[in-house]
Amino acid sequence: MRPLVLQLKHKLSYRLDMSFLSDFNKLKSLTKLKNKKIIYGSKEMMLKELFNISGSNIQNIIIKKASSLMDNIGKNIEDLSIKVYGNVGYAFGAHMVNGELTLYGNTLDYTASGLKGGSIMIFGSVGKYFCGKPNASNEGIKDGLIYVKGNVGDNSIQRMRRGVVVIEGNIGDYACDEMISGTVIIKGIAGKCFGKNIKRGTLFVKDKKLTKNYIKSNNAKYNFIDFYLKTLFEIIGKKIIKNNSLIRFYGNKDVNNMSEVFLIKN
Amino acid sequence: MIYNGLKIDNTFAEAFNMKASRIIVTADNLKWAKHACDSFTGFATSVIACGVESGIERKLKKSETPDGRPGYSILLFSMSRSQLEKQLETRVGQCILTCPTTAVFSGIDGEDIIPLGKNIRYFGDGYQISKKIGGKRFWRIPVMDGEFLCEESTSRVSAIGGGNFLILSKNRKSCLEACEIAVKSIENQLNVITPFPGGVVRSGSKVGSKYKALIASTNDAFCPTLKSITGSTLANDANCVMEIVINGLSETDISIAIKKCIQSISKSKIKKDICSISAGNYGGKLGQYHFKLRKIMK
Repeated sequence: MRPLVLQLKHKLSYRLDMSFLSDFNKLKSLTKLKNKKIIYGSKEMMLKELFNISGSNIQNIIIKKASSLMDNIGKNIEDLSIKVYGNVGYAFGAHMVNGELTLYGNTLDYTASGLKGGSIMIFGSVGKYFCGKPNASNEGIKDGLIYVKGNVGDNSIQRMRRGVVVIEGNIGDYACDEMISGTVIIKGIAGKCFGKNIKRGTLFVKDKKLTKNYIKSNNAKYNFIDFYLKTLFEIIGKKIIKNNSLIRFYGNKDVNNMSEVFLIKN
Repeated sequence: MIYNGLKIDNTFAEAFNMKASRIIVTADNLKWAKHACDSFTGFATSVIACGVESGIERKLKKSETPDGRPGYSILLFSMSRSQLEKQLETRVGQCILTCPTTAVFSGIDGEDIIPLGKNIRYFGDGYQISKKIGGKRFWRIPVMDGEFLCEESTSRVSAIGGGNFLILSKNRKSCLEACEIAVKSIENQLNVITPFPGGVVRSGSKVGSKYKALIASTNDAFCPTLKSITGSTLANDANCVMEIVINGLSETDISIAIKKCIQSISKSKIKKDICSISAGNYGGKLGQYHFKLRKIMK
């Protein structure tokens, strides 16, 4: 079956809430999908009036020529694969439960906020409050894997509970605030107040200043490194770090915590 | 039936429903992975007294293991879920956690999840670290050589235990040689193990005993030393009998293994000393699976 392709008929004038994509699994026929009612501006419209729709595989969706006025793409989705070409708006992949999201473009704020599982690949840059903590929750992302090729804005990765975040570019101020657990890989430079009140978790960083509060650990063998990097390579399809280029720092001098930092040497 | 010069008796092997699981053990090199596996699969020949039946399934290349290190896959068989869980945890804790450089992973997917490193993590005394990737959770337990990495859980699947065949030979030397050839022919076969020492059993058993406390006793019908005083089924020239017990994940796996074994004996020079190939059964009333030798060899 060919993937379901959605392409905007006209340029958007108002913000469009795309969270209806999470309902696609429940729709049994393509006709019902095309006639699905969505809110655009102050009007109620059918999906086919806004988009050119082709293909029939509801589980595999492609959005072409996306707009930064499209919010909530991938929000709450389960077992769906969505590929998006173009820039998108707020809350891309927020509260996603399971599935795959791929974006060839940039996103605005609140990307992957409250993520619960699945994988998000972003081949572009991301706005503020990336992997953030939803208002009604004490925890940030709870699981899943996120890869960002570009840069990430301020106040990102708050109270991360579990999961893996890989950022190839730079990250803004106040990142990894109150991190509870999980793994974060940052290959660029971080802004100020990085990792404030961090509790546990594993950080792989290239920016040496991020290790200044940590105690340098010995050169013991960490079996998990080989395994972890191999698994990441299999998922992302790209070697993120060479496993023979890491120096471990464990335990923060300022706060009594058990987080660890691996410094990536050039 | 004569198969390639080898007499196949008109009988069948009787096998039972069991529960099985697979784990993957890796280490810095094969030597230490083998040490861990040998220790793990030691005293795991029969559920009669060992709790589980276990054996090394096959050697794994670096490219086949989750962490890219060499290793082995191990299959465990048990009659009950609780026994399988208990034995798995005990053996991982005492034989793999203790062995230098090793790591342990689940080697099978299924709906019925059983703990692998879930409770062993407490050995870390609070310093253990959980990592979740690809939908699976792993535990990093600090140990004196660095870290012990283990997957939190593995799966349990339905399986079959007790597939077997007997080699009736003119003398002990040729019988053992035939057994070695047979076991070698399936040493890297997927989904099967031969849990006994070297894959061979010399003390085949029957159900029950004249002593009330025993649930199994020597299979007198196949004991050459008792030929003259019991209702022995052995031919006059059969002076040694050895059994190869095969446990597998499915009926097909066991049938293929039995066939491969018998084929390998029939291709060897030793076949001139083999009187016949037979199989162990309990009259067909106890086991859920019957492996008819002649049907398998057709």
